[in-house]
Amino acid sequence: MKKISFRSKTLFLALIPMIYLYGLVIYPFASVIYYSFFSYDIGGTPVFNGVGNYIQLFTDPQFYRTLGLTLSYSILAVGAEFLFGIGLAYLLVHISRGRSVATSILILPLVMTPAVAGIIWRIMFDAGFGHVNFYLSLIGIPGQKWLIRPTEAFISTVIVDVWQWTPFVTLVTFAGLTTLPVELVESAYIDGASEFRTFKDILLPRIRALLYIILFLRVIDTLKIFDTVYTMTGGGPGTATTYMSIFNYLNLMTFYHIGYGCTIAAFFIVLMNVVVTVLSKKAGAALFAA
Amino acid sequence: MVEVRVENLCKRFGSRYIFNNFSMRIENESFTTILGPPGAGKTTLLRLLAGVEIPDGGKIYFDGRDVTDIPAKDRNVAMVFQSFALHPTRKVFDNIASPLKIKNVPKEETRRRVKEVADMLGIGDLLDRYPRELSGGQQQRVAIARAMVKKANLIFFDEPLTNLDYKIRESMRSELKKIFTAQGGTIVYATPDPTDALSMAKYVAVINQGKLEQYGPVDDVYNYPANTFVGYYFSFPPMNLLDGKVVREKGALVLNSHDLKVDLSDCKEGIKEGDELILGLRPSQLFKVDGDDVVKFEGEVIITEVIGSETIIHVQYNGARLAVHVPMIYRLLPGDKLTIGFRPCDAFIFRKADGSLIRR
Repeated sequence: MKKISFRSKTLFLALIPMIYLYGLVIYPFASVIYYSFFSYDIGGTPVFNGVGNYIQLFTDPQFYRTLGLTLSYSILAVGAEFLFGIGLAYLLVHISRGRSVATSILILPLVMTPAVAGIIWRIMFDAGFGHVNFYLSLIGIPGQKWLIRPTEAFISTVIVDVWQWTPFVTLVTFAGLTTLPVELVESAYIDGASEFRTFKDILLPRIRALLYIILFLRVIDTLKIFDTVYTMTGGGPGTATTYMSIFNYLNLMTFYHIGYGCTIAAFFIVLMNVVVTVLSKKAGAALFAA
Repeated sequence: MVEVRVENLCKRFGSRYIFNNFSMRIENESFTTILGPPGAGKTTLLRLLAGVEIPDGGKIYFDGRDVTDIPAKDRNVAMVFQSFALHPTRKVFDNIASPLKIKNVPKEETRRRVKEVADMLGIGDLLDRYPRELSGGQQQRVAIARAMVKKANLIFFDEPLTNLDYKIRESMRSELKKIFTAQGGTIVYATPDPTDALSMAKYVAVINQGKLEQYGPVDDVYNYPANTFVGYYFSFPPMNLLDGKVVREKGALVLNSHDLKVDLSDCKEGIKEGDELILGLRPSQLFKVDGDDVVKFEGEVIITEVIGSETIIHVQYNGARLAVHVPMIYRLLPGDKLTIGFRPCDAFIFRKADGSLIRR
């Protein structure tokens, strides 16, 4: 039998990740791109449509509405998560007792399955018997039509995201802060810097790279938000909470527009790639500087 | 520019006392070294004086003014840390200027003062660089510049040379001494290294396990160590301490330690036959000692350590183990014989029971 050379063996082994890459990433990705050029509804046959789907997409008012909603959702949710998350991390750094209890409590929303969180919040936000309105009524605020009116529904979904993911920002920021040398704080303290200023000007810049990574993860997560919102509002009322992924899902799985769905997905892939590239460059630069 | 007094200071972490009724004084306009082994409480003492740490009891006075409850920022002190504590994302200029920025010193004055201090420390042309682009010695200079730019009453140094390598440490020592002599001010310098104290300081406070073992001018403490700990620790290499007993020989009292004999007739203290004493011999006073009254003996080499351009030879003699400091490179093999000796007037004699110095 002919002996297989070491080189061919290595080449053969190198095929395995290639097969994985092809089968699980490139093939589906290429299919999405391929079918995005076809007019293809379920049950029918794919008919080549050129850039027709793309023209349809870019002239679809619902698409722009969805894009705007998704971006607003992402900016509001991530902004609030950073504000509260870093604020809580500041408090965590400064409390001397009960830190482990606080972190255990903070972890709770994180460990909940997003789909389940969505269902629970749907019940909590119920205008009739929900907890949220009940507690608001206790402090004299009239009940809101949370998931019934478009704006309120949008705000509800942001609240849920902030509720679930602020602890993530807090815990990672806090973990980053605890790795910093204590001398940094002390030297600033001796020089007369206030605690807040020390935190803002000295500690936060030191974990800049980490903050970029958190931002990166949160922006990607919020742009592709699906499960929590889908179980909570189903994208409604109307299209008030139809974010990108839901818009995509509805077209594909509810209206069975395979071709058009693929066009949305293709656009979404490009959008996400741009965001990922920009943010990862920022994070990389910050990492290098630190 | 300030005299420091510490009275009955107590500090504990959990149930462990670092200081329990600790008192000491730091002279105005002096360079005082706090010398002690790791864990002695040096850093904690500096942090208490700086106001970073709050004492559990006792008082701290600056020029007679009680500052115990005054926060660090109002004490007008500066501190240089072992780890340098520089901001990696800021340039050298901004690092040095940071205390002035906090105090809202005008830009022009900041620039002038930073330049002045940086030039004095020889880092004037590095102001546009980032700390990571500097060597360890340069980074330490930046840290020192940041402490000096404040014109603080008191500057604390927490083992500033520990993170530097041997050669840089030596050159930094002489340079620091020059700068501080020119600059004046009260400097408190914590270090585990007796060489730092010997080469730079005017006063030394030897502390061990939160206790002040001895305080005084460097030469006094070096020449008259109050006890075996100070003798052992404030010496490089550490002092040889040999057990011995008082015997009577030809009518006179003599300390006999491993057959090395030292006459005790000039001791004023009440020593009687049979007392247990400790003979302290500095490693640097054993090699090539000549004179009529020198106690000479031949040791067997155990190991030879070459450190830089010096050698420490460990020998044994009659069951005693001694280190011998030779100010040059001198290689001997284990088993070789080495004739050494000491002048009785160089020998330190301590009481074994409490370690206190009887005579030197």
